[in-house]
Amino acid sequence: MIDPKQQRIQEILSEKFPQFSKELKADIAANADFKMVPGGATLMDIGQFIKVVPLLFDGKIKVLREDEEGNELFLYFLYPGEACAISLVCSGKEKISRIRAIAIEDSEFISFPIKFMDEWMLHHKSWYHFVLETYSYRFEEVLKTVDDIAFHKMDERLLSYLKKSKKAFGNNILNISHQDIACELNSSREVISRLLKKLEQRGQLKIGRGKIELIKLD
Amino acid sequence: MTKMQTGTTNKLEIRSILQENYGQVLEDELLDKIANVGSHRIAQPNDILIDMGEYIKTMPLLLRGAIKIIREDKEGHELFLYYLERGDTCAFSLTCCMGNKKSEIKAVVEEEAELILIPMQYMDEWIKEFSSWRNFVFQSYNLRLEEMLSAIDSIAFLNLDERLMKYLIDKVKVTNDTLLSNTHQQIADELNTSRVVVSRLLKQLERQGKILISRNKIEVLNF
Repeated sequence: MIDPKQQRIQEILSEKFPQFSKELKADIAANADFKMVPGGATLMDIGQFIKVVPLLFDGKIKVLREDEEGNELFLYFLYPGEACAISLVCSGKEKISRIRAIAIEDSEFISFPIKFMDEWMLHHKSWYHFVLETYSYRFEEVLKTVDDIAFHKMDERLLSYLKKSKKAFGNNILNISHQDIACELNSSREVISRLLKKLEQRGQLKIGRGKIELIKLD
Repeated sequence: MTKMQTGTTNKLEIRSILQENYGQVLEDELLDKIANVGSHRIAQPNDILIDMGEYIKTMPLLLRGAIKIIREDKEGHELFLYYLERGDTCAFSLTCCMGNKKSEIKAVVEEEAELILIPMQYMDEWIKEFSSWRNFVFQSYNLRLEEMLSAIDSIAFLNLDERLMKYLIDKVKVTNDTLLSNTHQQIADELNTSRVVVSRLLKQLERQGKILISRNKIEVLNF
């Protein structure tokens, strides 16, 4: 008889990680568990993801860099069908990096012990490709952040931040304060408010109480 | 690749250089294979090993010297990311070759560099065959990702004077020399700022007793 949990894992993997081979899906199903993180919770604080590989299949995660003084900087969003390379880095060294990952809505993972990460690279070509692609994709995202902060002005950065948030929240209305945006872009509330006003004057968005309505960002 | 001298072609010699530098990390059988297919090169300071937009066909193992990794935007503004040193490989070469993509960075020799270049086609094969190779490759990814994050930290969270001091100290460490021969313009380019600003901040660091400025030289006193 097939274990119902294993069957469920296999079904989810088939839908969200179609590139995985049949054998890999079976191996994951036999060794994995479900993990749920409620919207608003910080993943690294929960500490669940130090010794496991998390495969996100439902929800969305926001990844931020944090310095010793608590300054932060938005890096990217994680979507279903992805794993976080930085969590792989942390897992590999079993150390906690200065990365903060927050579930922006209720999120669900399939997670399995880190020791399989290496083992399966030998046996499953599709796993090996997935890990390499994850690294290379995150590398590019981090490089884009470098470009953003080094070469782009704050108005361009704000616009790109709003576009990414719109995609992640799947909504034209963002319930986010100017102060939050300022923190995540490592800027000041005054600067962000002024730039948002400018975008409003151009008819690209509408500023409301505790929310921003996006009209036309391109 | 431009302006690179071909080094020794003697396989035994290459094998022994590899043993010396990578003997701790990679297994014997793998080192034999690398010696067999790798080519040995010496590159001089300021040689550009790879430029933005070029295709990378080989993976470099650095035996000696230092290589500077620089990001450039469309308008030609530059930004220094990090140094590669002995025992390192470039994670960008890994991601680019895998996906057969164009290089997203520029690699410039800082200190005369000795390299072994491995044709990309062996990457996949060795990952399956050798666990030491697998560890080495993913360790490199991890290290470079950390370096990139720390580059982000210094641009996002440090003031320009702190970034400048960090840039000078990094360079002292990698060249093992407290006397640096960078021009102010060159530093300005790599930190994506202007020469005037850099000169002013260098003056300020000199007054604080951290450096000494002379003709075309900067001596780092305090690091």
